[in-house]
Amino acid sequence: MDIIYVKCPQCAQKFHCDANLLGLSIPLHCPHCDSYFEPQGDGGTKPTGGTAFMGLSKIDRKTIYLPSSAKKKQPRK
Amino acid sequence: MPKDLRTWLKDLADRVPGEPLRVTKAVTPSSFEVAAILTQLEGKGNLSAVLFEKVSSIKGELTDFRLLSHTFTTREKMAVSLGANVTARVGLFEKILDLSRQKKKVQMISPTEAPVKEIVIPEESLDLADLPIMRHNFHDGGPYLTPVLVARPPGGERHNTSWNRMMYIDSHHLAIYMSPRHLWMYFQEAEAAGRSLPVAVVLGHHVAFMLSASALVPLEEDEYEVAGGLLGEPLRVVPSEVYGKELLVPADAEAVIEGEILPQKRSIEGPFGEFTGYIGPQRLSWLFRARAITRRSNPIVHCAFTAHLDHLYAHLPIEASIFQRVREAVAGVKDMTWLDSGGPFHLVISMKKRTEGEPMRAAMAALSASNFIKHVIVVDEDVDPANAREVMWAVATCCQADSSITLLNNIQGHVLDPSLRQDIKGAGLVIDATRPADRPFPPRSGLPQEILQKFRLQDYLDIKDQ
Repeated sequence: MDIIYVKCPQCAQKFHCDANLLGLSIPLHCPHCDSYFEPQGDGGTKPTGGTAFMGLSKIDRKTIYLPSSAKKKQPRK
Repeated sequence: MPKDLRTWLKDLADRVPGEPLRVTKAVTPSSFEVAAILTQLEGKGNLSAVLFEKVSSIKGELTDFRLLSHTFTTREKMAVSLGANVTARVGLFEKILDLSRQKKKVQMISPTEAPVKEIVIPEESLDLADLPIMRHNFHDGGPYLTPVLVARPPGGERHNTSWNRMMYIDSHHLAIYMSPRHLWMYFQEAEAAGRSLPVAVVLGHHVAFMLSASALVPLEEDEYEVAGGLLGEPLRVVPSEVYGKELLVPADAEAVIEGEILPQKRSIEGPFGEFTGYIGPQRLSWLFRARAITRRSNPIVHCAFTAHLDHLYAHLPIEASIFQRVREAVAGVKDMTWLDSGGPFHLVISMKKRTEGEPMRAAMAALSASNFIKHVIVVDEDVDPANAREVMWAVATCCQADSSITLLNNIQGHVLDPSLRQDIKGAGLVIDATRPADRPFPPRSGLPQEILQKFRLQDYLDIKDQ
């Protein structure tokens, strides 16, 4: 799996994620400060190959579960 | 008395002096406190089981839970778990295989008799943040449970047990990661039908029960019955609170979270330190919703300490299953092991080779048995497969790269292997480090035992045995 390091806009710390997640318009979760945010991806990565993508007709924000506390914490774009 | 985690602790104390270690000071598992203690013990070579007797919840409040880890770290403890008198690797393999064949039908008991039903917390009042959930490695996405999950195929009767990491999200939700094996297949089937998959999340039971989750059991066999074999007695079960007889839960478990994996929903999960020794990336995983918690008083949450020896050695039943497949393929196989340093991806087989080609046949059997295996080294029977120095000596002296090494393309790898570029398809490697059978080869240097016995060290020097 190709990975990419992303920087949390809340706490500025870095962590790594599946590169396929970028460009899907779904939020990432910062393990350091527990905030959720949308990464600034290149939009060119397609969600192929990952087993968790299988069985889904589409992936968007509604597919991803977010805790209510996280929804409040999301920074505005 | 039925076997459970408490009888296991008593057996351990009776058979292994000094175990378990007991930490009476209050600890907060979600703040790396338990992980720090276990890491330092492992660093000192102390692999004792550790029972933390006062633990705080994710909320930081002291609970009546206890927490147990380092249950798999030594072969002595494996012997206690299996009721075995042997601690040698192959002896334990044979014990596991023998017990797995002695499957036992489950014993259904009533909810009033079931210890796990002592306290029932329904969906409307449960809060997963009341549990003591451990953070294992720095960079982990959150606190993680390392439970055994029980599920049935949609419309089927078989019980499947599996280890799955589960990340705390909020009061009712955990993210769950599934490798593409049986549980994943069941969920795929349920999701295709637009249904959720009911699951029992077992937070602690006798270690033999927990080991059933890493046995390579054919899809037609019931893993509750295999758990009964490993326990040496029928597994006592009871209908679940939420799903009734559609999902039977272990009656002697310490605590069970009942719930379901939801269709057409996913969660962001990770990063998480895995058996590979790396922190796996944040990824798309599945979503579990808790519907009830049932538990005992002072329950013991079992934690496999991930990315550490405890995690690697929990795979012993897989290793035993691979050993069986390899020995079925080639009768001359004597011993086999994963190397601790590389984790489960490296396998070393020692064998008495009779003809050329047998090492490759043994290696292929191992590779076909499990996608945990990526590299196989085959050595002669006089080489200890668990001794990396000896194995590398055999590779150095018996191999020529143009004829002893075989690369295998396009085989299923392991999704957690950080070197994979594609999500799951990778390459395999076989190194035949056995001596040739079709031409003369020099003998191994050294002295035979009869000469060493004749000229004993203590007759010449005042050196005591270590």
